[in-house]
Amino acid sequence: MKKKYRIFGLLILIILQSVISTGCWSSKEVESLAVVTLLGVDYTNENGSVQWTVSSTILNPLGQTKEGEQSSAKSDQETLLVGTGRTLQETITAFTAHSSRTPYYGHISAYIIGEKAAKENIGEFTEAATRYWEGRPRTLLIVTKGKALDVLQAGPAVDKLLSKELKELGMKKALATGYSYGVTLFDFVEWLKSPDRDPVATLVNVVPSEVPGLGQQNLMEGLAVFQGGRLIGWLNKDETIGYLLITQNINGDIPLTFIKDNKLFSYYISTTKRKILPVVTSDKISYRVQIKVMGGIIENSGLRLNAEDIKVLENIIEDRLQDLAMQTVDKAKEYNSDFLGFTEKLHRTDLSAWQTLGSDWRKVFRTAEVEIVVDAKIVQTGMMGE
Amino acid sequence: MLLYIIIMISGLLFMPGLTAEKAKQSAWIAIALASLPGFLCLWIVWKLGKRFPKNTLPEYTEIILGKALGKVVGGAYILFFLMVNILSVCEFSKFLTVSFMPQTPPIAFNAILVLIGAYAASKGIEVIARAAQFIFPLFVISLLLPLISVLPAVKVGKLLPFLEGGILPVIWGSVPSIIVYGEIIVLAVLLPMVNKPEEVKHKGAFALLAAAIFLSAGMMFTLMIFGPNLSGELLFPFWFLSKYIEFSSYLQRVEGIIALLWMVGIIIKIAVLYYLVCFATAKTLDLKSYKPVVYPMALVYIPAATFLFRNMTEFRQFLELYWPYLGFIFELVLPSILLFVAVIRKKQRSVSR
Repeated sequence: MKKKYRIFGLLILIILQSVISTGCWSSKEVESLAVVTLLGVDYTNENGSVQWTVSSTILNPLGQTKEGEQSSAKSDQETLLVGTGRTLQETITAFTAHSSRTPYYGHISAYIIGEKAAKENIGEFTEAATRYWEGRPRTLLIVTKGKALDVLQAGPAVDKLLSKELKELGMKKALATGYSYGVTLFDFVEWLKSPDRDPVATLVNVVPSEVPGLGQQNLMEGLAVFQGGRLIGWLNKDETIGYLLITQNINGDIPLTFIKDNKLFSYYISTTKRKILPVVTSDKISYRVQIKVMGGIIENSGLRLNAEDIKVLENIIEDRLQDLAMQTVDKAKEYNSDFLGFTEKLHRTDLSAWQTLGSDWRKVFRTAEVEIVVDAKIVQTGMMGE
Repeated sequence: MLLYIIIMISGLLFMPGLTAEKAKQSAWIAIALASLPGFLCLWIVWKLGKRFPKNTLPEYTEIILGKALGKVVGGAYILFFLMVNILSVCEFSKFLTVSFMPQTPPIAFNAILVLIGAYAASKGIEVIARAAQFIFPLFVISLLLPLISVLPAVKVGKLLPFLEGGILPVIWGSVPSIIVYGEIIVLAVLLPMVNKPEEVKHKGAFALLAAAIFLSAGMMFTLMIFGPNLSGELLFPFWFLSKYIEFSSYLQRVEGIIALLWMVGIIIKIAVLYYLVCFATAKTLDLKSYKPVVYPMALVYIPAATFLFRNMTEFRQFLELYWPYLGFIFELVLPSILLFVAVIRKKQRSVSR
């Protein structure tokens, strides 16, 4: 008798289990999902009437491409949906209203924010994105000059999927080539929330294609600079390299062109290491940045380099790099935004000095002197034997 | 091991966020610091256990305080264990709701967790302990995996400045976590059932130490990844840590597996506490066996876990504001009073029922 009960109980457990493992109320079949790969956000506020526009690309399941039809057009695998509304929530519901499938946000590779939205209301969006349970912390945060919708419309340059292209660029290549830096959502939110640093975001622009006749394409180049939660400017390519030199340890292949004796040389930066040292004296704060660079010269305009030449070249390179970094620092001061992390470093190393700064730490940063010391080495000359 | 799982599980979900909110970048110290009262609690329980090696907590409260008062205190302890258990059911079902299945009604999670716990409890403590033995390595893996795989992204600089704003925020930040370590009080009931009671002192201390190290390390890594300002904002920092793992396309989205292992851990915890509640109830009511109490108890659990807190914010507020003090009374104050009275009245092991 007792044994029978036990078997009965076990049976109930097993049945329960099979119900649980389907996810019960939250179950979603793959066929009914619309996998969102990119989410673009635009915002306008004209005379108090707020309008959000959310545009997103949705991955088409492979089965849906018609047979015999080669996926020649780039946007074949991603469908673009657009919706508008007065609040973010309303908008997000609106853009999927046409689709029979439920959107799934777990595979977003980047949020693309339009210029207007970044200027006026980025905090609201990033907060929503951080809270949302399907979102992931390492999604890229990309700002564009103009509208996010344009970026999504322009489509990928090389890859089949724009989302994949942006993800790979942002995560690996942008830093290695010095074009930009892949800022993730959590990086951004952390900077936004910190009391001592201003955020930056990756910048993607729509540019005419380099191959004639192919229309427009996207280019990840430069960075968007924020002051607190407000977009205030951009960094161009040179300034971006300066930003990377100061804030990152690069491991890549960044070209650097300079002129010596009327000849163009091209140096490539392969690894850099940097260190920011705040120097606090009784009445003022200054910063010292040490950058150690290793790299090589492959293209040497037919010249043969000997040991002395290399020394001279190293000096020139150091000057050039220092110049680049200084440009960025100047830009930061011009924008009144400490996105380089100087004040953050001060906060971490010299607590008492930070406490005296109080709320006008940006002003103090603007007047602080910054000294940049570059130590560049040429480890490869690319010369082959005679 | 059992103790370790019990402590770890609840320490993992909510505490890091609550602590980081107050103690900022020194939150990892706060969490380590919070284990100290836990050791004190262990010592008191150990002393009490030594005086009454054959009796459990609800029994020796009666011996120490007399029949009537002892029953009251025993009843209070039943309520306390009940509360701890309801909270842990609640905690985990809220976690599942928020991070996995928002559409599923919480009562489903609660019912499943409680029924499994009830089944385990009806089988007795040894079964639970054996299950814990099996689960322990899996559980440790689920903790180590996130910690190891975020190593490349760690920035030690985010822990600086060390002890900003003095020691006070750290102490305040440690308050909500004290209760977690204090859950070692379950030993007061379990002690007589252990095979080698002499070893319990060392094993318990070891479990506390290991839990303190793990929780503190988890907090430290969370801080080093997300920074002090963001960690306090996140509901489940450690959860986000496991979400953060991403090695291009080889290793990512591991949080599902990790959450599954946590779920196994929480079931062990629920089963143990469930057993304690039923056992203590039976002892206080002078029942012969605790088994008739097991399934009726589920009728208390499921509605309580479902309807006690209307939403997340309320739950968090409760954990932060009221629960520490309640826990403090039951985990430190009451046991020390018991010990004190026992010493004065010179009640010894000679008394047996």
